[in-house]
Amino acid sequence: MTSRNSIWWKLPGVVIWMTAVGLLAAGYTSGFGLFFALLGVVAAFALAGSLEALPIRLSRVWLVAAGAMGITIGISWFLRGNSSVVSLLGSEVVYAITEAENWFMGVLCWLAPVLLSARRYSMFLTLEAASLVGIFSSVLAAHRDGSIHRPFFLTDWLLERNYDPMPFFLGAGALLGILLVVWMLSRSSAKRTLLDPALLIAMIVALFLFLPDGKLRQLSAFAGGAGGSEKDKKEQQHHGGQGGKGEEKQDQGQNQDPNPSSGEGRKSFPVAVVSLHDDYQPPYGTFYFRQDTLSNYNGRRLVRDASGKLDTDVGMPFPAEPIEVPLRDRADVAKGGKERLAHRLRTTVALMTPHSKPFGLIDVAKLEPAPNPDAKRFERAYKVESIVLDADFGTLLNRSLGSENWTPEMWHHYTDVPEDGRYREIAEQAKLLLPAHLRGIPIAQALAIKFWMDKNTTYNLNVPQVDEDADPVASFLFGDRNGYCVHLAHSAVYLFRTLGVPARVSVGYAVGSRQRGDGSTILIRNGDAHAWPEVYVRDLGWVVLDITPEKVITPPQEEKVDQDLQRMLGEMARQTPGSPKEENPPAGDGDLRKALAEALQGLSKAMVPVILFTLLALYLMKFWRRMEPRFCSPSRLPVASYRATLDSLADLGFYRDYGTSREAFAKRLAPQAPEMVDLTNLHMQAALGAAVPKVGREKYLALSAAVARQAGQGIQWWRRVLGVLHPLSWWKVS
Amino acid sequence: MDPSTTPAPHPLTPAAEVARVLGSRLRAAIKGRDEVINLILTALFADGHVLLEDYPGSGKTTLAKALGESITDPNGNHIAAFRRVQFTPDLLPSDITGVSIFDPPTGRFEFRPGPIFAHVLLADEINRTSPKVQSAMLESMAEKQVTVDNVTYPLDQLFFVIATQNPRDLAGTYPLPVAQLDRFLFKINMDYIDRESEVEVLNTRRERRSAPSGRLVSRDEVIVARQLIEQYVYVHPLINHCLVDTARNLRSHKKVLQGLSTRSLVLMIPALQSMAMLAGRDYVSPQDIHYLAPYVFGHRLVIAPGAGDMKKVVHECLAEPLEHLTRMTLAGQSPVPAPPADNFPAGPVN
Repeated sequence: MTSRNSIWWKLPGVVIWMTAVGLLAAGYTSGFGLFFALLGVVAAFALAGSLEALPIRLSRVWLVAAGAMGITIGISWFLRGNSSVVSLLGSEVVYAITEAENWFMGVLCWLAPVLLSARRYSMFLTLEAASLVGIFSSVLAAHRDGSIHRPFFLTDWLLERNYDPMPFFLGAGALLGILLVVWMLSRSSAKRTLLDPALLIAMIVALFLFLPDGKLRQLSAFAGGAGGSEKDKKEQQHHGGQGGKGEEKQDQGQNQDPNPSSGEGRKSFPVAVVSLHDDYQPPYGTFYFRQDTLSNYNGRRLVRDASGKLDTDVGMPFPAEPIEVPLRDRADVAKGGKERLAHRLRTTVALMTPHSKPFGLIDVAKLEPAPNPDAKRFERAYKVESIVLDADFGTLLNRSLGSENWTPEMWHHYTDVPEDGRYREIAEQAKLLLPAHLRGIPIAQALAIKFWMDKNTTYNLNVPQVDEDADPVASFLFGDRNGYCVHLAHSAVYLFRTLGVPARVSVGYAVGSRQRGDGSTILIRNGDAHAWPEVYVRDLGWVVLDITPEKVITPPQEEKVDQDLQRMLGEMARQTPGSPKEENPPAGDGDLRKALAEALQGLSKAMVPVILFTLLALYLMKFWRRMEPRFCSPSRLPVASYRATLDSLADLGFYRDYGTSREAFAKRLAPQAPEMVDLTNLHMQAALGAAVPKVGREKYLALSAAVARQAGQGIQWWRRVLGVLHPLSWWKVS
Repeated sequence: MDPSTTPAPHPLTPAAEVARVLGSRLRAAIKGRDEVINLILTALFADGHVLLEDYPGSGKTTLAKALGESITDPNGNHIAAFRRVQFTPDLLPSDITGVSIFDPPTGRFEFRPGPIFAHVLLADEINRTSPKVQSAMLESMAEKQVTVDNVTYPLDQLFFVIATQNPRDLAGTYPLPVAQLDRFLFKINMDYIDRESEVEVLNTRRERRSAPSGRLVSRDEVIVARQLIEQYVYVHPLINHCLVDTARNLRSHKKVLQGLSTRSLVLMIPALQSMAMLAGRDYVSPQDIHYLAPYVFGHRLVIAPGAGDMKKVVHECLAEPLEHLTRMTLAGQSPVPAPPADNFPAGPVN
C-alpha cells in the first residue's frame, strides 16, 4: 500500500494526464488557461490521493464535483455576461479569470472523481482510459487532411492517392489509446471486468463514427453560407477536407476544438494564387476577396439572402462562359473619370484547394473561365474583372448611404436588427466619440461605431465556437467582448443597422497589401480567411469598414509569406496548360472514412438482430439453469439445484467473492437464509465426497426455494425485478 | 421407528465420539483455546506432532497433561500417559530416551525407559537443548522408536509430541533447522486469549484443579479412530490437484526461497482428513485446506527476508488453486481433469 501511494508510482499518471490535458487546453485557451488546466491535473491527483483513504461514497464525490462545476460555470457566466463587471475590470482580465477558473475547476471536477473511482473499482479504469483516449484521438483527429502542423511525409502519400488521411490519424490516436489502456490496466492487479474490452471497442467505434462526422457537418454548413443550404457532397468532403473554404476556415479553424490547430501550432498552407494584371494598392491596406455575404436577419442571426434578388454580386457559379455581374452604382463611378474613385482591374485566380464558389477582389464585375495551368497543382482557374476602390474614408464622409434604386423592402432588409435596446445604447455611446458637428452624418456614425469597437473589444481566437444556429453577437457584445472576426463583423453590422446604416457581413479572404511584397502575385493562405462588415455608400456600392481591435490576445496569423514561393506559384499560375492531365484521377476516389462509416453502419444494423438473438439466448440460458433441478437426473441434482440457488442469489446481488469458500459464503448468508448451509453441505458432499447423498428431489427443491425466499426478504421489490430481468446475472456465478 | 429404515450408523461415528470426548475434556481444562485444541486433536488423529510457539504460562502443560490423562491404557504396560521434559542446554539424549543399567543379580544390562516412553510428551522449549538431543528426539518422533546401545526399542503407536519454543528470548538457543521442523505436522502460534476467556480461567481455577470426571478414552480407541479416519474420510482427487498446484505456486513464488517438500503434501492428507472428521464431514472440503495450509506449510517454507507475513504468502499461492477447486464443484459429473497424455516419442529414437 505504501509503495503504491508513493509519488513515484503516480508520476507516470500525472505526466500522461498533464500531456493530455495540455494538448486539449492548448487549442482552446490562452497560456494562462493552459497553466491552470495543468494545475488542475496536479490538484486532481492530490485530491484523489487524499480522498482515497477516506470512507466517502463515490456517488457523493461525483455529486459534489457536479455541483462545484455548476457553480464554476455560474460564476463565469455571471462575470462574462455582466457588462458592468467587464467594463470595471477590463475584458482581458475577465477573460483570464474565467478561463483560469473554468479550466482549473473543469479538469479538477472531472479528473478527481474519475481517478478516485478508478482506484476504488477497476471498472472505472475504463472511464479513465476512455477520457485519455478521447482527448488524444480528438487531438489527432484535428490533423485530418493534413491541415495542421505535421510531418508531411506522413500523409502526402495518402493525399496523392486521393485518400483522406483522417482515418489514419484517428487510427493512430486509437492505437495510442489502446497502448494507454494497456498501461493503465497493467498497473492494477485488480481483476478485470468483461465490460472493459467492450467499452473500449464501443469508444473507438464512436470516435470513428461520430466525432469526425459531426465536424464535417459543421464545416460544410458554414461553407454553403451560414444558413446551411444545399451543396453537393463532394464539396462537403473537401470543405471538411482541405479547408480551402474561406471564412469558415477562419471561423472554425481555431475552433476545431482539439487543437494545436489554432494559434501558434497551426501550419498554414496556400489555398489560391491571385495574379494582378495591373498594379494596385487598396486604399485601406488590405486586399479583400469576397466569396459570400450574409445580409438577411432571420430573427436569430444573419444568413445569406435566399430570395436571389439581393446580394447579386455574390453567389455566382464558376464561370463556364463569361458572366457579367450587375454592379449598379460602382460601374458608373469607374466610367466617370472626373475624380478617380474606382477603376477596373483584371486578375486571374488559380485555386489550389477546392472551393464551392468563386471569389474575387472586391467588387467583382465579371467572371471568365481560364484554363487550368497545371492540373496537378491547381484545382481550377478563372479570370475576374473587378472594379476596385481608390477612394479612402475621407472622401466618403460627404456621401449618403444606400442606393437610390432601393425599394423600402431592400432598405428594411439591410437595416433589420434584433429588437434589443442594448444595441441602441452602445450605438448612442459610440456616437459620443464624434465631435458634435459630425454626429448627424450617417457615415461618420458608422465610423464612430468602428472606432468604439476597435477600442472596446479584444481579438481572441480562444472563445467558444460560433454555432450555426446561434446568434454570435449578443453574448459577445454584452459579455466579455472577446472574439474574432465573425463576432466583430456581426456586431458591427448590428450596430450599423441600429443607426440606420445599411450593412452586411461578407466572408472570404483578406490579405494585407504588405504580404504581396513587390510582385504582382497575391498568395492566399488558409489563415487569411476572414469575415468583415460592409456598408453601402451611394455611388460606390458596398465599402469595407473592418474592425481592428486594439487589444489582441491571440494574434491572427503573422507568419510571413515566403516571397519566393509566392512568385513561383504566381508563375505557375500564369503558365498555359501543358499536356492535359486528368482532372480527377479516378483511382482511389474512395473516401476511406466514409466507406468505413458505411460499413460500420451496415454492421450496426446487422447487430440489432444479433443482439436480440443473444439476449434471447441469454434469457433461455438463465431460465434453463433455474429450471434444471426439476428435470435433471438424480446424480446431477446436487449441482443443478445448488447452481439454481446461486443464480437466484445472484439476481438479488449476492455473489461469492473470489477466494471465498462455499461454506464461508453459506455462513455469510446464514443469518438470513439458514437453509443455505444445508444446501451447500449437500452440494459439497456430492461433489467432493465418496458418494452422492441420498436425498430426494423435494428436499433439494425445498431448500433451494427457501434460500431464495429468505434471501430476498430484505430487498426492495424493484431491485428484485431488476435482478430477474438482468440477462447476465448468472454470468459471474461460480 | 422401523429398524429396516433406520440408517446404518456412519462408520466414522466411533471416531467422532472419541473426538467429542477428548474435545470436551480439553475444553473443560483449558479456556479460550478452542482453536489450538482443535488443531491438536487434528494432529493427534493425523498421527503428527505439534510445535507450539508461545510464551511461558499459556497453558500448554495443562493442555498436554489433560490430553495425556484423558487417554487410558487398560493393558497397562510401562508406557506413561503423559510426560513433560524441560529441555536445557546440558540435557543428554539418554536423559530422554532412557539408559541401560547393569543389574548385578542377573549380570545383564537392563534398559530403563526414559520420559519419551509416553502417550503424550510435552517437550518444553525444544530449541534450548543441543542439536544432539534434538536429533535423538526427532528420530523418535519420525520413526516412533528409540535406539540405545544399538538396541531399538519401539515407542507406543499413539506417541504424540507437543513441543514448544519461545518466539522471543532467543539468546543461547539452537533454533531448529527447516529439516527438523519438517517433523512437526503443525506449527501453531498461540496468542493471548481473549478477555472473557481469561476471566473465566480465573473464575474456574478451583474446579479445574482436579481432573474432570466423566468418560475417558482408551488408547486403542484413538488408534482405531485414526484408522477409521484414514479409511472413511474421502479425499477427492481434486483435493490432491489443489495441494500440488499450491505447492508449485509456492515453489515459484518470488518471495519463497525454499518451497514445500513432497513429504509435506503427503503429511497434509491425514491432517485434512482429521480436520474434516472434526468438522463432522466424511469428505475433505476446500475450506479444510484453506484453514490448515498456514499451519502445515508455514514452518516448511523459507521466505526471503523482509517478505512479511508467511500466512499471507501461503494464502496468495493458495487462492487460485482453491478457487479452481471450488469452481470445479459446479462443473458436473467428471470434475477431475484428465491426466496429460504420456509423451512417448512418436518416431524412432536415435
